[in-house]
Formats: sequence, structure tokens, C-alpha cells
Amino acid sequence: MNPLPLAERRLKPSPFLPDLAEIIRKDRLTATETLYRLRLADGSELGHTPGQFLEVSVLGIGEAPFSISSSPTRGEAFELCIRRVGDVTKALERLELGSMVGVRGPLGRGFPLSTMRKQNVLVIAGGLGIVPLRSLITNLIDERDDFDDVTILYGCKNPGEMLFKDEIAQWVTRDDVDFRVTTDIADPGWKGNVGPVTTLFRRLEVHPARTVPVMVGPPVMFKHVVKQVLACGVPEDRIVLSLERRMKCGIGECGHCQINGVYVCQDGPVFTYAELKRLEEAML
Amino acid sequence: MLDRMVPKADLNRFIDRLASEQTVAAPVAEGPSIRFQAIRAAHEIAEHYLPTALPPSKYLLPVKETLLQFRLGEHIEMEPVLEAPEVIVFGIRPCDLHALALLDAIFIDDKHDGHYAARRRRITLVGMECLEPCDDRCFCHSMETLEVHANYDLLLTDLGDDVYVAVGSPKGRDLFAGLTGAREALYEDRTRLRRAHEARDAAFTPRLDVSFDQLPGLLAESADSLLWDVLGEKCLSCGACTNVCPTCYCFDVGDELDLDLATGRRYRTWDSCQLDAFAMVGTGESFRKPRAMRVKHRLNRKGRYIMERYGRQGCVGCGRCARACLVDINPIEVFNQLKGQPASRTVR
Repeated sequence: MNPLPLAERRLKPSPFLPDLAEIIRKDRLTATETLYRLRLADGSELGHTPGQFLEVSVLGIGEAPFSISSSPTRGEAFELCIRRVGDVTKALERLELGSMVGVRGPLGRGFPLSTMRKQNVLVIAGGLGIVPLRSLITNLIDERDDFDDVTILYGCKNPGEMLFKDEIAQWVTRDDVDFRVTTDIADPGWKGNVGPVTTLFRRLEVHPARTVPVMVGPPVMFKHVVKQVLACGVPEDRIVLSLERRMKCGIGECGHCQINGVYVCQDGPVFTYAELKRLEEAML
Repeated sequence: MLDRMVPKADLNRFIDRLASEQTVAAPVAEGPSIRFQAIRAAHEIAEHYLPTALPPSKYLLPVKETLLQFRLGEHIEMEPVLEAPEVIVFGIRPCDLHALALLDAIFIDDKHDGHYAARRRRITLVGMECLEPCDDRCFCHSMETLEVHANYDLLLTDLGDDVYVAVGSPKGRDLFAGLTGAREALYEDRTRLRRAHEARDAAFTPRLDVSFDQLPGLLAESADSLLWDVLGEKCLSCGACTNVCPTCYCFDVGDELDLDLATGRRYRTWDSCQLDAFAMVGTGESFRKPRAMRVKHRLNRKGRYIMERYGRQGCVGCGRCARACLVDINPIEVFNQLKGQPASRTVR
């Protein structure tokens, strides 16, 4: 296997021409989410950073952006966790193992791993925010010695919507990861914390100068969690978040993802709070 | 490259010949509007014209453009489609040449977009200088897009019976080589050109109360202006302004399958930030829902965001959006009203 350098792979007459990738595994995670494992048809590595995304095509149906859910530390195959919500995602669900999809990317700016090294990392996931953060978390665990304390806070609407349950069971048992989970609404079997993800801060000590909080979730979560970490004294330029926007091109042309003058697809999707706080439409 | 001088009659004969041999587009009067379309002879070209209904950028970013074609099946085949017809576009106004220079900077220099680049390679740009203002909605003088010194193959100036031809590229020089009756421009010709420019400069007056390079600062200060709410209440969100804008380039991407369900294509098509669903994500959240925010986004893109990112005018002052607007939203008035506000907030 001799992967082409990324720059060379990107030299194409059309920025819209995808690479082909084969679906090599499909796991149903919940009623609406499926985890797809894919491999580029030319055998090369994706070469991504956690937090980056791909434009995925089901040819004839369309293309949509999805964050990469696996860590680059885990070899050449990669994973996408996708909720069935529109035409492309429904078509993806119908595809069988061995089917080919188109992928363009990795695109965008991922999580700033270099600023997290030798720091405490506080990962805060709300709902589907766990999908891109699983890439980061796996990377943190695989290179565990490079980071100080790793704390993961995960909030979901109800226990049934919790993703990656098998992996979470492993994270919980690790001594070197502090994993805490909460749910907005409990069900009869639930013995854990109930309430929004901010309630997990109650018994949490955050060292403001040594912690990089990284959060992905719905806009309403950002509002409250940013307030919480600011209250802990974390500087604005160390608060990391990743935004979801509509994206058609993924390369800063089509305009859909623009927030004021910023293109989420190329300037993000990962930003610091300092970069976003003056952008009115960031909705923080 | 040496400029040329040519009698109008010879130029027209030259255009007639060119149009019989290849695709030549020029502004043509069609009812009340004037639009760029293919011509067969020079006499079809509109004599006097406002900016055309649609800008000439439609030759580089057409309403709908195929990006890829594919064949489904056991082995998926796909290939990029570079639709790039050879076309000579005559009579492009300086404002539109500035807009095309911006699109070049974005799609070629920044994005290396092969689809755009292929079209750009095969288009010949023949500009036509403006010597009089077109109407009270144009403000090219204020945007400093009235004069143009680059990004054309040929630039024509109407000097009465003669036309002064500035040669801007080897392509333009070669095109012009076939023209009989043309001669090298002499000192007297340059003097005539200069006088025409002086008369032009006297005829055009600033329409904005700010210079174009102050617009980014003005718009940044005006983020909280109540004027955006006023405009949001007026705006119909029809997207006419973005359709006619020479610097608007946002698009949507879609797939279509042929009836055999085996072959198909991916295309891009014009889209508008003024439309409701433009910023909506899969889960239904829209990040720019209120009309006031959408109007503000458009005018900030024109006056601020593009300038900040690409260092060029994001609005060339052609006035098309104001002419197309059903409720008379006019960037001249918007920018001047923002400028007229002593503080950051505009009173209703």
C-alpha cells in the first residue's frame, strides 16, 4: 500500500469529483443512527484530523457533509455515524456492504490537537455532537500519554439516543479517563445523572490555565456550556467548538455555510470561542 | 501592447465577420430590457444600454452547469464535465469587468475551480467604456469601478466615428490582427481618448457619501442598526437582487438521473442567500431565518465580507439589484443612511 500524498490526490480538474469508497461494515446504533465503516477504493489512507468532515455522495441522489467519527490512529478504514434524516442519508441506509459511495475530503479545519497536548482536555458532547468527538476521544486515548487529564461529559435526550454504547462501556472502566454521562429524560432502567450536560459540571474541577474545553452539540448547549467554562475562568481563545452548517461545496464557494464573513467549511468547522463570539449568526 | 484606432464602420464589418465564424455575444435590446446574447451581425448590438438584465458573468457561471457525469452499476464510472464553449463577449461595461476580475480571483486564484477556469480560458472579453452615467441607480464612480485597466482582452472607447481599442492581452491582440482598417493609435488619438475621459469624469458624480474602502468599517459599525429591521420588513426575499448581481456566485448542487436510472449528472445551479432555506441544516434549524438578517448578510457581503477576504470590491456599483428590486431596496440609499447615522443605531 503506497498512499498518495494528500496534495497530489487533491489535484483534480474538478474540485467536485469524489473518490470512491467502499462500505465495508454497517452497524445500526439506534433507531435512526447507523455507523458506516468505509475504505477508499484506491487503498490510500484518508489522512484526516479529528473534527474534519467529508462530503459523501450517493450518486444520483446527492451529496451531503458528514463529520468523520473515527480516529486517524485507527488505520486506513474510517467511520461515519449518520442519522437518517434526508434523501442522501436514506439512500445510504439502503446501500449494502460492498457498495461504493463518493467521498470528497477530508475537508475543513479539525480540532487543534497540538494545543491540547500536555493539557487537560475537557470534552463536552451534546446529542449528535458525540459523533465528531468520538474521533477526538479515540485519538486522545490512543495517544493517552501526550495529554494530561481527559474528562468527557456526554448529554443526550434519553438513554435510547445514546450512541457508541459499547465503547462508552470501555471508557467508563478506564482509570485514565473521567467519563460522565447525563440524560434529559430518564427511563425506568436509568441509574445515572438526569438533567442537561451543564449539571455534570457540579462535581468537576476545571483548571482554567491548563484545560482545553472542546464542545460539540446543538446551539442551545453551546450557549450554556460556554457560559459555564467561562465562569470557570477558561480564556476565550482556549474554548474550542465545532459548528454544524449547511454545506454544498465544502470548499468555500457555494455560500451556504457562511457566518458573516466566515466560511464554516474551510475556516471551520472547528473554531475557538474567541473567533466566534462577535459573529452574530454563530448563535452562541 | 500597442493600442489601435479603427473607424466604426470597419469595426462593425469585423464583428459581422467574426459573428459569422464563431459565437459572438453582445448586449441586444429585447423589449424593455437589454441582455447579452449571441448575435449574427453588428447591427443587432444595442446602441445605448444600461447594464444588461443579467451580468456577463453568466458565461462563466451559468444558471445551471454540469459538474460531473456518472454511470451507476457494478462499477461506478464518473468523470468531471468541463463545459466550456468558445465565446467572444462584446460590449462588457467596466463595472462588469471588475466583477469578472473578482470572480477570477475567487474561482481561479483561490479555489482552482477547473469548471470556471475552463470557461474562462475560452472566453474573450471585449469591454466597452462608459462615457455617461447610465441612470440614477448606478454608482460605479463611488465604487471606483468606472475606470478599468486590466482583465480585458480588448477595451473599446467610442470616439464618434472612430473607436479607440486598448489591447489588454495577447489573445486580444491576435483577435484584432484580423481587422482591416485599423491602425496604430497615435499621439492625437491618445489626446482624443484623454479628452473623452475628462468629459466622462465630469459627467459622473459620486453617489455614495463614503468611499468604497470605508464600506467595510461602516458596515461593521452598523451591525446593530435598526435600518436592517426596516429593510427586513420591506424585503420580499424574492432573490431578484442576487440573480442579477455580477458578483453573486452562491450555488446549490444537485444530482439528476436519466430515465434509464443508470446514467446521470451532478450540476450546480444559482442559489440565493435571500431565500428562506439557504442556511437551513438537515435537522431543520435555519441560521439566518429573519429577513432582516438575510438582507444584512447580502449587503455586508457586497460591501464588507468580500472586500475583507479578497481585497477587492464585492459590489461594483452597477445598480442592477436596485433596478430589479420590487420594493426599491437600493444600496446607495442603504449605505448613505448608515453613513448618516451619528451613532450605530438608526431611528425608524
